[in-house]
Amino acid sequence: MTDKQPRTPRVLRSKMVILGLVCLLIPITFAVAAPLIAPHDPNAIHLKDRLTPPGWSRGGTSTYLLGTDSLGRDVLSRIMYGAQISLLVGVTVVLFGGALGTLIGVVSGYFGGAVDALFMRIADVFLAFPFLLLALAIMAILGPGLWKLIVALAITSWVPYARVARAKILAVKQREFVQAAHAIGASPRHIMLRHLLPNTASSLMVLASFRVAAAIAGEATLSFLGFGVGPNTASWGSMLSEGRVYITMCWWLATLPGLLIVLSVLGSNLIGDGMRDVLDPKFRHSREGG
Amino acid sequence: MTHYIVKRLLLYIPTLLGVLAVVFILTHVVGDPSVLLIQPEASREDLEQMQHILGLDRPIWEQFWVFIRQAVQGDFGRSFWSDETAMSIVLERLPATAELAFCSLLIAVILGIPAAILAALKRNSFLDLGISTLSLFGISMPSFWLGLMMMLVFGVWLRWLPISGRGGLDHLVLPAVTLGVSMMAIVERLLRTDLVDVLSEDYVRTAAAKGLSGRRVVLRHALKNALIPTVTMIGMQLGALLGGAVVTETVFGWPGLGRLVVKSISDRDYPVVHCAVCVLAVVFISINLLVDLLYGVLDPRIRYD
Repeated sequence: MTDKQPRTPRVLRSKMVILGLVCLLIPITFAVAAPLIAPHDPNAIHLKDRLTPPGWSRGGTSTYLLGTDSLGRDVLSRIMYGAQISLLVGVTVVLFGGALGTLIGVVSGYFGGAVDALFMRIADVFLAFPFLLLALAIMAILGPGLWKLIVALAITSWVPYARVARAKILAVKQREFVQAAHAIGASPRHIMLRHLLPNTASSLMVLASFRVAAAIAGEATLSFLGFGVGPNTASWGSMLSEGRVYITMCWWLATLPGLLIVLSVLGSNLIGDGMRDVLDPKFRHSREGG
Repeated sequence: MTHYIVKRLLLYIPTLLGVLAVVFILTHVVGDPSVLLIQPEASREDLEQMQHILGLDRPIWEQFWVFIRQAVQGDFGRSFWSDETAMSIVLERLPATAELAFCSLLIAVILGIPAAILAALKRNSFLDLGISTLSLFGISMPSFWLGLMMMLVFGVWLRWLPISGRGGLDHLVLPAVTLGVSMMAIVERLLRTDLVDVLSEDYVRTAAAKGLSGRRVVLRHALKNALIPTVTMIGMQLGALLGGAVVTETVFGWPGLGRLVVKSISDRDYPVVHCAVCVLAVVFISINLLVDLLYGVLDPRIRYD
């Protein structure tokens, strides 16, 4: 390559990817810098300041810019720390679920036959449950907790990766370069890792960015239902669940954490849309098995 | 065709057994119902007695066999908290969820399909951009937050609609819209993309060239072909709809199956949880079977063999 000029990656030339990154800027900043920029301890209880409205509305003070909850905890600080939970869950669930699903999909697609039939029947069983219901059932048994939540969401989200990876493998398996690798005696592991896996990468990356959105929404939903990270951890979902109780008198409790969820999910979806347009225009059934 | 239906029905059986196995593994292998049922300070003898009553001291394969045998007969035992059978409690709640899911689906289809047609016909216009942006928000808003916001605006501030419970049509509006929005957005996004593709196909151009009216070209030639992936997607999304019902019903206090699941999980009422989860799964895989069979009607090119 004589071209020494640094080139912008293709995906960064998509307007939608850029817009998505802009949406994620606030949640990412909150997550990374929460200990530095949060005005209060997210779990500090100030009972005499309970249910203070946001700073700009009547009765609000500048001490609590976005108001306080029923225990007098600062909403802004809790939103900032909640970003850590949401993004951590979003990324780890996709890594674990994606790794598991890709492994199953590549193995199924490569070996075919009985292995493939078995894994695809298992996938059918997982698809027979509404995604949320299965995650809910797992959380009910495991009990609340961040890592348990990540496990529950990862276990219930491998199927779309497996299906996409399998479909891609089936499409490239018969191509000459794979046949050639066979002919020179490459091991199945080598063929799968070196020749087949790279061909699934672009589709899986598109799928993964949509699944980050699904994982963030999933965490929020389970926490909202009371089967999430547990009562003492600030999470957007559990904040909203309290907001529901006070909906008639304290609008800010239900509104503000939700805006951050929308921003994060929207950002991930925009990145997914943009990456799909650039990397894999034929890829459409992105939320398959959602 | 008959051959295909028989084949699909036969594949349905292992899936169903798999569903029962997953439910069994979750509750009997990962968790122990007797521990969940008994007070934490109970003695060892109490625990063993409880395990004996529930049949948990028998070998795991025997328990699994008993569970499967009773489950396929629709017998999930009696609720721990009331004297009714789990099945009767679940069936009592089913109509409320069906009503909610049906109305959401209706909203999604009635609004989603015309929106997609408009966006595809006026591609890259401001209308298209507006519809696409709304759809993107539609898939990005968690349903419970959308529900809370609509409660706040239409229930608390404007006082137009009731915010909780089941009653007349006015009670149905907010939960049905909440549940329908994401599906509507998904329908719109998928159908728009497919319509744009189909509209540039030769047979659509031919139809237009031979002087058929624009409406006829779109409805008869383009839409019929573009709808096929959308119908599949609707079938797959019905599962998400049933899952979404869990949340929407909780937000709006809608007395359906979803709220029953959440409540019985909190109450540790395992027979009811088993039954509700299995009923939801059976409904879901049955719908997907129907959707598969519906393809043939929409697209005669598909052969079942």
